[in-house]
Amino acid sequence: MALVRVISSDGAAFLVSQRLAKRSGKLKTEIETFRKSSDNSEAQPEIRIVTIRAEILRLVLQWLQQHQNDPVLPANQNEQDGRGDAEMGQSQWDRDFLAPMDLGIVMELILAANHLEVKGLLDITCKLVESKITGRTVDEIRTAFKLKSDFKGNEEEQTRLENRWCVEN
Amino acid sequence: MDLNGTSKEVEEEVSQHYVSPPVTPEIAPTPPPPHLSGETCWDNLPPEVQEMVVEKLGDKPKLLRYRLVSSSWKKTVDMILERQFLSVWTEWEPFEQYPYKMNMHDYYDYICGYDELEDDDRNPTTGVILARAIIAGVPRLRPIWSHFAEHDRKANLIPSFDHHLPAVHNPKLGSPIPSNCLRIRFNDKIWPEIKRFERSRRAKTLADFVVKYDHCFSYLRALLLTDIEISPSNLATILGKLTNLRALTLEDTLLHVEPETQEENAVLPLHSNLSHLRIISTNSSASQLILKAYHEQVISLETNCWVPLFSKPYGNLKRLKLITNLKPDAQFRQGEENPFPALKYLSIIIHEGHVFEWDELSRTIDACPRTLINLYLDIEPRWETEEDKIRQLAMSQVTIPNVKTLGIFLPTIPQHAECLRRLILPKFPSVQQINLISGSWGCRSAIHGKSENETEVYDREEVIRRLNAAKIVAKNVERMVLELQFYATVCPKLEYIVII
Repeated sequence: MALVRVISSDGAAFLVSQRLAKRSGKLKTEIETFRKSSDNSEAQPEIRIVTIRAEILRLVLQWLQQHQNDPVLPANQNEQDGRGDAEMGQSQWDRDFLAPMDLGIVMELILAANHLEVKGLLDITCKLVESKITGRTVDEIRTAFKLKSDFKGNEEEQTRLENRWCVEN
Repeated sequence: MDLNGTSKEVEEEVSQHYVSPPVTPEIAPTPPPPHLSGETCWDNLPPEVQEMVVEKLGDKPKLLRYRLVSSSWKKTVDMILERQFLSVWTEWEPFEQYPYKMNMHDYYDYICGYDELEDDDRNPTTGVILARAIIAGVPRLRPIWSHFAEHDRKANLIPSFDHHLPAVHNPKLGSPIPSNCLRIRFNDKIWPEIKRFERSRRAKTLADFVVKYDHCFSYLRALLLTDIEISPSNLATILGKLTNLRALTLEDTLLHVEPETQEENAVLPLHSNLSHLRIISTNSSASQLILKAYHEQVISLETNCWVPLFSKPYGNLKRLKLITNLKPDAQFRQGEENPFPALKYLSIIIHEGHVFEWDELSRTIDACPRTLINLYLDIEPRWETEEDKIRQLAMSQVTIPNVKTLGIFLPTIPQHAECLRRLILPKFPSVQQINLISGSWGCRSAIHGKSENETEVYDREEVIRRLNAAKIVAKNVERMVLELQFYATVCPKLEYIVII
């Protein structure tokens, strides 16, 4: 079986089947690039992902493995039928998979899924973030994301006034 | 590899899949950088991912609230709203946009309006007009502009408006106009006692205002001017400050050259990004001034005022939508050069009451640029009443080779359906989808049994079923059905017939 070595930013190597790896758009491209540039068709590709650390990369690969038989979702599914992709793809397994993660890990996972072009994973993680934001006040959002408002002086008040161009008052 | 993943080969290999933990790290793991330690890193997400998350959070009023989270959230929200609003110009929509179809209240922030006033504010005896801002999504109004009748020369933008815009530029906060789209509307026309000089003075006030707050208006990506009378120089002043403008709409807006000034030669500023224009119900000097300045760069153009406009080259124009009372065939043929070398989408909507002879329809089609891939002709040909004369109709052999989607009249009797097949369809050998336009016959509701706004896609059988159900072909149903089925023999690539 054709394998590919995927190496995380902190140097951990994951040996996965090419078939699985190719479900990530990014890895697929990398493998094909490697094939074209390599004389030896038997050579094992090695792909270094400098932006993703081992813990996150492992999660992405776990998710891919779990979903290896899912049909690949067309990129514009959302627009076509008005249904969220996330609902289509989200299973009990996904919920259990995401449950123990704090928002920080989820954000990293979003970043990784985006970088590796794994649409299904990106959808469910975005959906999770969305569920943590919807209905929250501005302060609660800042707390959840550990963000500090960078507005100084009257800047927040200014922004509030700008919004009155188009919000009910 | 087949990513749909159900082939036999894949199934055989599934069992062999494995993901190893970090087995034999060849490089010693280095400590992860601090921002990856599981701490939240919203600001590390790429802007497109931030947009993707935030966009799912709700409609405009909700999104506006998130502008208050931080300056980066503010910019993200503005980007989302900007993209949503710009799609009004950038996405192809061949139909005529009736006011009810595109509810402006949902789409734009804009400044003035008389007809939105509550009755109390309309009372002309008080001599006061309080025009108010429409609130996007919620048509609640707020005083923005006050006009005191002629005796008060201080009529001006009232102070509360100023307070909404920062006096100085703050790069950290970015745009002070949510969505970077703005609609400005004076409603003088329905207030006839406002004299001409008063109207142009208002336009001057607006121009001064834009100059004073140019640090705010330079963010604007789209501007709509509605119900305004303005001089060329004031228009040039306003546009000159909108350095990032991509889309411009002039609607019911008149351009007036003041007799005492020498501004016939006013030139509009260069705007390299301005590429989407809608010029609706303006006087011809307004459309001429705009198109003279931007004809070479415009990518999409919608206009109902076009007689003298197309003698110039429109080298980048991809989408053209004409709503007109005139017959377009002569216009297209003026001059030897095709003024639209890049045109892909063309929509011609002829208003009711202007009937085409068949040879005019033929000439119009023949004059279409060969580059078209999408053609929408809302034109009703004049029908002969005698079947023999219908048989004798003929058209040229000219073809428009690349058209894939064709919008054309909905035939309502078999003879007309036969004409469509025999005369028009052979001109479009690559057509994949035929949209039969039912709107102008008023039979849309008869066919759909529902509101006019809805567009539905059916396969051929469904179309036939609907035609039957609507009884618009009460006689000769079988022949009509037969004709529609013949369409596929004329157009080998035909996949859909759609009633719109």
